[in-house]
Amino acid sequence: MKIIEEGTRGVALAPGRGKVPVIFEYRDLTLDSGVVVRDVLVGVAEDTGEILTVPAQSTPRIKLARLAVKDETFSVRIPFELNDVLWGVSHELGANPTKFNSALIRFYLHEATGSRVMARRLKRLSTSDLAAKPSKTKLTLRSDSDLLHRVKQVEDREGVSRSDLVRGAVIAVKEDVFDRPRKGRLAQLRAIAEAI
Amino acid sequence: MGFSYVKRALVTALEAGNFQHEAREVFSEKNLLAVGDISVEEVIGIVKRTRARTIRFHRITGIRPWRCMCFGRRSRRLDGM
Repeated sequence: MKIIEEGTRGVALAPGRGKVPVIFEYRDLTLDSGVVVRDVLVGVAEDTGEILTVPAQSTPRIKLARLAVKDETFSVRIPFELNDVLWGVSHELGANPTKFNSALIRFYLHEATGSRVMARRLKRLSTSDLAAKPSKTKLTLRSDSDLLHRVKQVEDREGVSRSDLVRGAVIAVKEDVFDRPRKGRLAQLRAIAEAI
Repeated sequence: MGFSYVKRALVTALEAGNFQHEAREVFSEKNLLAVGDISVEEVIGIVKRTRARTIRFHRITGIRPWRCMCFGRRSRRLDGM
Protein backbone atom coordinates (compact mmCIF):
# COMPACT_ATOMS: atom_id res chain seq x y z
CA MET A 1 0.00 0.00 0.00
CA LYS A 2 1.19 3.46 -0.84
CA ILE A 3 1.33 5.63 2.30
CA ILE A 4 0.85 9.35 1.80
CA GLU A 5 2.26 11.58 4.52
CA GLU A 6 0.62 14.66 5.96
CA GLY A 7 1.74 17.76 4.08
CA THR A 8 2.24 15.93 0.77
CA ARG A 9 1.02 17.92 -2.23
CA GLY A 10 -0.93 16.48 -5.15
CA VAL A 11 -3.64 17.16 -7.70
CA ALA A 12 -7.37 16.40 -7.58
CA LEU A 13 -10.49 17.18 -9.60
CA ALA A 14 -12.72 19.95 -8.29
CA PRO A 15 -16.32 20.32 -9.51
CA GLY A 16 -16.38 22.81 -12.39
CA ARG A 17 -12.72 23.76 -11.97
CA GLY A 18 -10.87 20.71 -13.27
CA LYS A 19 -7.48 19.83 -11.83
CA VAL A 20 -6.53 21.81 -8.74
CA PRO A 21 -3.60 21.48 -6.32
CA VAL A 22 -4.33 19.76 -3.02
CA ILE A 23 -2.43 19.21 0.19
CA PHE A 24 -2.98 16.18 2.38
CA GLU A 25 -4.10 16.86 5.93
CA TYR A 26 -5.74 14.99 8.79
CA ARG A 27 -9.31 16.24 9.11
CA ASP A 28 -12.75 15.09 10.20
CA LEU A 29 -14.60 13.59 7.24
CA THR A 30 -18.42 13.59 7.16
CA LEU A 31 -20.06 10.72 5.30
CA ASP A 32 -23.43 11.18 3.63
CA SER A 33 -25.05 9.01 6.34
CA GLY A 34 -23.95 11.61 8.89
CA VAL A 35 -21.16 9.47 10.35
CA VAL A 36 -18.09 11.57 11.14
CA VAL A 37 -14.68 9.91 10.77
CA ARG A 38 -12.27 11.71 13.07
CA ASP A 39 -8.74 12.66 12.04
CA VAL A 40 -8.54 10.87 8.72
CA LEU A 41 -6.14 11.77 5.91
CA VAL A 42 -7.82 13.72 3.10
CA GLY A 43 -6.70 15.88 0.17
CA VAL A 44 -7.74 19.51 0.68
CA ALA A 45 -7.84 22.18 -2.02
CA GLU A 46 -5.04 24.61 -1.29
CA ASP A 47 -7.08 27.69 -2.21
CA THR A 48 -10.57 26.93 -0.87
CA GLY A 49 -9.84 24.39 1.86
CA GLU A 50 -12.57 21.99 0.68
CA ILE A 51 -12.00 18.24 0.83
CA LEU A 52 -11.55 16.92 -2.71
CA THR A 53 -9.97 13.53 -2.37
CA VAL A 54 -9.57 10.65 0.06
CA PRO A 55 -6.54 8.36 -0.31
CA ALA A 56 -6.81 4.57 -0.26
CA GLN A 57 -5.02 4.38 3.09
CA SER A 58 -8.00 6.10 4.76
CA THR A 59 -10.47 3.34 3.82
CA PRO A 60 -9.93 1.15 6.93
CA ARG A 61 -10.69 4.16 9.18
CA ILE A 62 -13.87 4.90 7.23
CA LYS A 63 -14.92 1.26 7.35
CA LEU A 64 -14.37 1.03 11.12
CA ALA A 65 -16.26 4.28 11.78
CA ARG A 66 -19.26 2.93 9.85
CA LEU A 67 -19.10 -0.42 11.65
CA ALA A 68 -18.88 1.26 15.07
CA VAL A 69 -22.19 2.99 14.40
CA LYS A 70 -23.75 -0.35 13.57
CA ASP A 71 -22.58 -1.91 16.85
CA GLU A 72 -25.39 -2.88 19.13
CA THR A 73 -25.48 -3.72 22.79
CA PHE A 74 -27.58 -6.47 24.26
CA SER A 75 -28.08 -7.66 27.79
CA VAL A 76 -28.76 -11.07 29.22
CA ARG A 77 -29.40 -12.12 32.79
CA ILE A 78 -27.05 -14.78 34.16
CA PRO A 79 -26.45 -16.38 37.57
CA PHE A 80 -23.81 -14.74 39.79
CA GLU A 81 -21.78 -17.94 39.52
CA LEU A 82 -21.42 -17.59 35.74
CA ASN A 83 -20.17 -14.05 36.23
CA ASP A 84 -17.54 -15.45 38.59
CA VAL A 85 -16.58 -17.99 35.90
CA LEU A 86 -15.94 -15.17 33.41
CA TRP A 87 -13.85 -13.22 35.91
CA GLY A 88 -11.97 -16.38 36.80
CA VAL A 89 -11.15 -17.07 33.15
CA SER A 90 -9.95 -13.49 32.67
CA HIS A 91 -7.74 -13.86 35.73
CA GLU A 92 -6.43 -17.23 34.52
CA LEU A 93 -5.51 -15.87 31.10
CA GLY A 94 -4.22 -12.54 32.42
CA ALA A 95 -6.76 -10.45 30.52
CA ASN A 96 -8.65 -7.27 31.33
CA PRO A 97 -12.12 -8.63 32.25
CA THR A 98 -13.94 -5.47 31.17
CA LYS A 99 -13.23 -6.16 27.51
CA PHE A 100 -12.31 -9.83 27.61
CA ASN A 101 -15.60 -11.14 29.03
CA SER A 102 -17.51 -9.61 26.14
CA ALA A 103 -14.95 -10.82 23.58
CA LEU A 104 -15.14 -14.36 24.99
CA ILE A 105 -18.90 -14.54 24.62
CA ARG A 106 -18.72 -13.07 21.10
CA PHE A 107 -16.10 -15.68 20.19
CA TYR A 108 -18.30 -18.58 21.28
CA LEU A 109 -21.38 -17.09 19.65
CA HIS A 110 -19.38 -16.65 16.45
CA GLU A 111 -18.29 -20.28 16.66
CA ALA A 112 -21.92 -21.32 17.14
CA THR A 113 -22.98 -19.43 14.01
CA GLY A 114 -20.43 -21.37 11.94
CA SER A 115 -20.76 -24.80 13.53
CA ARG A 116 -23.93 -26.72 14.36
CA VAL A 117 -21.87 -28.85 16.77
CA MET A 118 -20.95 -25.76 18.79
CA ALA A 119 -24.52 -24.40 18.60
CA ARG A 120 -25.88 -27.67 19.99
CA ARG A 121 -23.14 -27.76 22.62
CA LEU A 122 -24.14 -24.29 23.88
CA LYS A 123 -27.81 -25.32 23.87
CA ARG A 124 -27.03 -28.47 25.87
CA LEU A 125 -24.80 -26.63 28.35
CA SER A 126 -27.45 -23.93 28.90
CA THR A 127 -29.53 -26.52 30.75
CA SER A 128 -26.69 -27.64 33.03
CA ASP A 129 -27.12 -27.22 36.78
CA LEU A 130 -24.84 -24.18 37.02
CA ALA A 131 -26.48 -22.38 34.08
CA ALA A 132 -29.97 -23.14 35.35
CA LYS A 133 -29.46 -21.32 38.67
CA PRO A 134 -31.53 -18.15 39.22
CA SER A 135 -30.24 -15.36 36.97
CA LYS A 136 -29.64 -12.46 39.31
CA THR A 137 -27.09 -10.32 37.48
CA LYS A 138 -27.09 -8.63 34.10
CA LEU A 139 -24.36 -9.06 31.51
CA THR A 140 -24.24 -6.34 28.87
CA LEU A 141 -22.36 -7.10 25.68
CA ARG A 142 -21.49 -5.06 22.62
CA SER A 143 -21.59 -6.73 19.24
CA ASP A 144 -21.81 -5.77 15.60
CA SER A 145 -25.21 -6.18 13.98
CA ASP A 146 -23.89 -8.75 11.52
CA LEU A 147 -23.00 -11.19 14.30
CA LEU A 148 -26.33 -10.61 16.05
CA HIS A 149 -28.14 -11.33 12.79
CA ARG A 150 -26.29 -14.64 12.44
CA VAL A 151 -26.94 -15.48 16.11
CA LYS A 152 -30.65 -14.88 15.49
CA GLN A 153 -30.52 -17.49 12.73
CA VAL A 154 -28.97 -19.96 15.20
CA GLU A 155 -31.69 -19.15 17.75
CA ASP A 156 -34.40 -19.88 15.18
CA ARG A 157 -32.73 -23.01 13.84
CA GLU A 158 -31.95 -24.59 17.22
CA GLY A 159 -35.03 -23.33 19.06
CA VAL A 160 -32.99 -21.62 21.76
CA SER A 161 -32.95 -18.10 23.20
CA ARG A 162 -30.01 -15.73 23.09
CA SER A 163 -29.80 -15.84 26.89
CA ASP A 164 -29.52 -19.63 26.72
CA LEU A 165 -26.71 -19.37 24.15
CA VAL A 166 -24.80 -16.89 26.33
CA ARG A 167 -25.25 -19.01 29.47
CA GLY A 168 -24.14 -22.06 27.47
CA ALA A 169 -21.14 -20.11 26.20
CA VAL A 170 -20.00 -19.31 29.73
CA ILE A 171 -20.22 -22.98 30.73
CA ALA A 172 -18.32 -23.90 27.53
CA VAL A 173 -15.59 -21.41 28.50
CA LYS A 174 -15.41 -23.01 31.93
CA GLU A 175 -15.04 -26.48 30.40
CA ASP A 176 -12.41 -25.35 27.87
CA VAL A 177 -10.28 -23.47 30.41
CA PHE A 178 -10.73 -25.26 33.73
CA ASP A 179 -12.50 -28.61 33.42
CA ARG A 180 -11.14 -30.16 30.22
CA PRO A 181 -8.56 -27.74 28.82
CA ARG A 182 -7.61 -28.37 25.20
CA LYS A 183 -4.37 -27.00 23.84
CA GLY A 184 -5.85 -25.58 20.62
CA ARG A 185 -8.79 -23.86 22.27
CA LEU A 186 -6.63 -22.42 25.05
CA ALA A 187 -4.27 -21.00 22.44
CA GLN A 188 -7.22 -19.30 20.70
CA LEU A 189 -8.47 -17.81 23.98
CA ARG A 190 -4.97 -16.65 24.92
CA ALA A 191 -4.69 -14.96 21.52
CA ILE A 192 -7.97 -13.12 22.16
CA ALA A 193 -6.72 -12.11 25.61
CA GLU A 194 -3.56 -10.70 24.06
CA ALA A 195 -5.38 -8.95 21.24
CA ILE A 196 -7.90 -6.91 23.22
CA MET B 1 -4.37 6.47 -24.79
CA GLY B 2 -6.51 3.50 -25.72
CA PHE B 3 -8.86 1.63 -23.46
CA SER B 4 -6.58 -1.38 -22.99
CA TYR B 5 -3.74 0.90 -21.91
CA VAL B 6 -5.99 2.68 -19.41
CA LYS B 7 -7.30 -0.63 -18.14
CA ARG B 8 -3.78 -1.93 -17.52
CA ALA B 9 -2.79 1.32 -15.81
CA LEU B 10 -5.88 1.13 -13.62
CA VAL B 11 -5.14 -2.45 -12.54
CA THR B 12 -1.50 -1.53 -11.83
CA ALA B 13 -2.59 1.44 -9.72
CA LEU B 14 -5.11 -0.67 -7.81
CA GLU B 15 -2.54 -3.39 -7.14
CA ALA B 16 -0.05 -0.80 -5.86
CA GLY B 17 -2.64 1.02 -3.71
CA ASN B 18 -1.84 4.10 -5.74
CA PHE B 19 -5.33 5.58 -6.04
CA GLN B 20 -7.61 8.09 -4.36
CA HIS B 21 -11.34 8.59 -4.04
CA GLU B 22 -13.18 11.67 -5.17
CA ALA B 23 -14.84 13.56 -2.32
CA ARG B 24 -17.46 16.29 -2.19
CA GLU B 25 -18.82 18.36 0.67
CA VAL B 26 -19.94 15.10 2.25
CA PHE B 27 -18.34 11.79 1.35
CA SER B 28 -20.60 9.44 -0.58
CA GLU B 29 -20.93 5.94 0.82
CA LYS B 30 -22.02 4.69 -2.60
CA ASN B 31 -18.32 4.37 -3.37
CA LEU B 32 -18.03 0.80 -2.11
CA LEU B 33 -14.27 0.62 -2.53
CA ALA B 34 -13.71 3.80 -0.53
CA VAL B 35 -15.81 2.62 2.43
CA GLY B 36 -14.35 -0.89 2.40
CA ASP B 37 -17.51 -2.78 1.40
CA ILE B 38 -15.69 -4.22 -1.60
CA SER B 39 -12.01 -5.20 -1.72
CA VAL B 40 -9.36 -4.01 -4.13
CA GLU B 41 -9.04 -7.60 -5.41
CA GLU B 42 -12.74 -7.67 -6.26
CA VAL B 43 -12.49 -4.36 -8.13
CA ILE B 44 -9.47 -5.64 -10.05
CA GLY B 45 -11.51 -8.70 -11.04
CA ILE B 46 -14.33 -6.48 -12.27
CA VAL B 47 -12.00 -4.17 -14.19
CA LYS B 48 -10.40 -7.14 -15.93
CA ARG B 49 -13.81 -8.19 -17.21
CA THR B 50 -14.70 -4.79 -18.65
CA ARG B 51 -15.10 -3.59 -22.21
CA ALA B 52 -14.98 0.03 -23.23
CA ARG B 53 -17.57 2.58 -24.14
CA THR B 54 -16.50 6.19 -24.37
CA ILE B 55 -19.07 8.72 -23.28
CA ARG B 56 -19.18 12.45 -22.73
CA PHE B 57 -20.36 13.26 -19.28
CA HIS B 58 -17.42 15.33 -18.06
CA ARG B 59 -16.03 18.35 -19.83
CA ILE B 60 -12.56 18.58 -18.41
CA THR B 61 -9.66 19.50 -20.64
CA GLY B 62 -7.10 16.75 -21.05
CA ILE B 63 -9.24 13.99 -19.55
CA ARG B 64 -11.05 11.39 -21.60
CA PRO B 65 -13.70 9.61 -19.55
CA TRP B 66 -14.52 5.95 -20.04
CA ARG B 67 -17.60 4.07 -19.02
CA CYS B 68 -16.49 0.50 -18.47
CA MET B 69 -19.25 -2.03 -18.93
CA CYS B 70 -18.49 -5.28 -17.15
CA PHE B 71 -19.98 -8.46 -18.52
CA GLY B 72 -19.65 -11.29 -16.08
CA ARG B 73 -21.40 -13.12 -13.30
CA ARG B 74 -21.83 -9.88 -11.40
CA SER B 75 -22.32 -6.97 -13.76
CA ARG B 76 -21.24 -3.61 -12.45
CA ARG B 77 -20.56 -0.29 -14.05
CA LEU B 78 -17.38 1.60 -13.36
CA ASP B 79 -16.85 5.17 -14.40
CA GLY B 80 -13.22 6.07 -14.77
CA MET B 81 -10.78 8.26 -16.56
